[in-house]
Amino acid sequence: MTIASHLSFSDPELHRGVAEAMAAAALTPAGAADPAEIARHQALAQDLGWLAARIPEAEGGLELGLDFAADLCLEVGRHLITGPLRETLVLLPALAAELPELRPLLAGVLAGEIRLALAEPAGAGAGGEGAGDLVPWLRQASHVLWLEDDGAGGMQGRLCPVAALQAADLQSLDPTAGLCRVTAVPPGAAVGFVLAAEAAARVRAALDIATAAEHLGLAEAALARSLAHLGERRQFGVAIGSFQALKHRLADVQIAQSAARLAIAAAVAPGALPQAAALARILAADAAATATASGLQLLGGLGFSWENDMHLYLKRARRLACGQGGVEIRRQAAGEAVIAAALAEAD
Amino acid sequence: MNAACPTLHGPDFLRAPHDAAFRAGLRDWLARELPRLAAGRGPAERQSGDFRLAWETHICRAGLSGLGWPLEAGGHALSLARQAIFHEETARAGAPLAVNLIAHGIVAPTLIAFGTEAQKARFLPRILDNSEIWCQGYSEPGAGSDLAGLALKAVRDGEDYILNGQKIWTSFAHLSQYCLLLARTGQGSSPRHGISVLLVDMALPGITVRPIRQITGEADFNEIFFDDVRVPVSALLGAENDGWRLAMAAANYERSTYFVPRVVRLQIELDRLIRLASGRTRAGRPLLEDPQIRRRLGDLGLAAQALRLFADHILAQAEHGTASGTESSAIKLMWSETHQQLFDLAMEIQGTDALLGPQEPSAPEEGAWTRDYLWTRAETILAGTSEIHRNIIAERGLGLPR
Repeated sequence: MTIASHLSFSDPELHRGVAEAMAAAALTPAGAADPAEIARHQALAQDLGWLAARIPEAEGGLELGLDFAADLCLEVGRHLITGPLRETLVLLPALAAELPELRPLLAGVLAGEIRLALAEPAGAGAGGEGAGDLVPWLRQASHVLWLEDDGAGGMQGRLCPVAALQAADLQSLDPTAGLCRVTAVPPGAAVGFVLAAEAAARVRAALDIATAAEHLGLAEAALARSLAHLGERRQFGVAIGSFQALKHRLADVQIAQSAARLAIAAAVAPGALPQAAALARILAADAAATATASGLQLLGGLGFSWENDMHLYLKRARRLACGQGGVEIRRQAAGEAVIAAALAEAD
Repeated sequence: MNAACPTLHGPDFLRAPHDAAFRAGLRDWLARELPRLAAGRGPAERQSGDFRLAWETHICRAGLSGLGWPLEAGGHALSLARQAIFHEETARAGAPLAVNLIAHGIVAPTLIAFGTEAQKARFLPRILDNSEIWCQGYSEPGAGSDLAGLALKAVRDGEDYILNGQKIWTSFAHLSQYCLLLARTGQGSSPRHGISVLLVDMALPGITVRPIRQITGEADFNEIFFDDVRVPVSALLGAENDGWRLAMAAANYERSTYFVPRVVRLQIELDRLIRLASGRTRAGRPLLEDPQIRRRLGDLGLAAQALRLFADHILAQAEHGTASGTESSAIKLMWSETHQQLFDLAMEIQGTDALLGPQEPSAPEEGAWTRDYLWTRAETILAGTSEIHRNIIAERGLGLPR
């Protein structure tokens, strides 16, 4: 397998190694909730050194760029790899780069002992601060991270060992990711921290890029499956891929992916502003939404069946799109910046 | 020095040591020259064919044409980067759209690639100084998206071809001295194999130009009727029956920079629309307090940013020598549809002013918003319909069966 350079954000050779390994480890629908399958994916990430990608060399890591992290997350999406990779591989090192007190955790990441799950606020419950919140991957993590904007550009967060809190297992929309509701967080169990605006912007950008890349991987996989189906499925004596309505739908799916890819490339380029990462996340979420929805539609009854993988891409795309307040908040914020800039120019 | 046109040496910034100096020099030049020519003219007049032609000719006479042509053709051989800067800065300065774009963008590069020395010597200098205007005789009533189905005949008779047939949707034919004509000279194995390109003098007997009124109110495009029109064989460009290949090559010349000014203009129009909205109310409340309006303006802004990424990418690909097949279709689709959405929103933001006609002088900007709203309806049709471009992406890009 070769990867055309225009399909890699970083070195195509590095990317190819990752892509091949993930393709070989590909999840089966039955394995989505299988602990052995999950463990296999976790081991893969550690054995192949992906967890070291964003850790500085001084801490024992590979100190690779966000462009490589983007290629990695892209393949995670494409192959529906399980485990909190985005959070552990990109978010935690980004936080540690800003907060020295978190750096000791990085050795644990390399050893495969520390994995981070990101909590989603879901309304207050009794049981301490954070109770009632939803956490994808909690059972695969060693720590849960709460992260919220402070309304002034900065962020505040809390980090809590999974062993210290209590959580209930829920059925997850995304069958490829376990989900828990935190039921109790003992006082003092979580360690708090604060990020000023500039540091917060860097952390946000890193998470946005990783999420955008995973969305794009989901989108590309959904499109590939759609194309395969359209080539094989015959009705009315012809391959259904020859029908113009379906061609036009997939042309739009392709354009959305091209836009997302360009935006991610711009966000990982040297000197990129944080807004570039936000744009990438919005465009990639849109690309995944349209690719997975179209994919389901184009597969007809098969697309609607649990047994076919298409719903896994749809559901993971939906889960990612909900995260940290959701895509719509980002879209609104980016749009407000457009309006503010136009009005400022007039003054 | 333009070999063909010794007077068109051009301003000094053309020879600036680096691109930033080129951009600065060009910006200064535009900041002096455009207001001087536009002085005293309102928005409607500045969008008129007359002013557009006057500006274009002024730019050409100042030596700012043939930017990308080889030196031996009379051009400046500027890099793609500088050509892109030129398009960007003229758009940013608010320069009007070109009239003679067929000549500069299609005829000239095609002549340089396929023309005889005699044809180049005859036509290139007058494109350079904008003294001859060209139109593009391609579409026919029976041949639009299916251009290869064209039927206008060019029958050989001695040292001439005799032309019979009709063209339609020919922009600025009523102003043109010459026509880049696609005609049927043979019946090959497929419709594409009997087409030739002819350089036709619009003053020849037997040519009738009939303007067609557009929904914008103006009549900038036309039907052209050819009744036993005699053109000399020397009017043939390239080889007989090889015209389809030339026409396809011709369509590619401007591709890498075509959307640079268009995405810049779209951004400027959006900024203006936001400022228009900020001064308007609806049911007694400021329009910009409406979250729906803010959302749609914001989304257009994100689309404009994505379009800029596309345009830069296509330019970068061209600079590296990699061809972009379906990316041109993608950007054309995205730009034309975004442009329409922008003016759809403009019509809403205009409120009851949207009732006023496109030539009504008391309308905001003398009717410019409405004229542009109407004009953008054509942008998903010209230069390949959206449907055709989606087919191209699906078939050539995704490999779906034809």
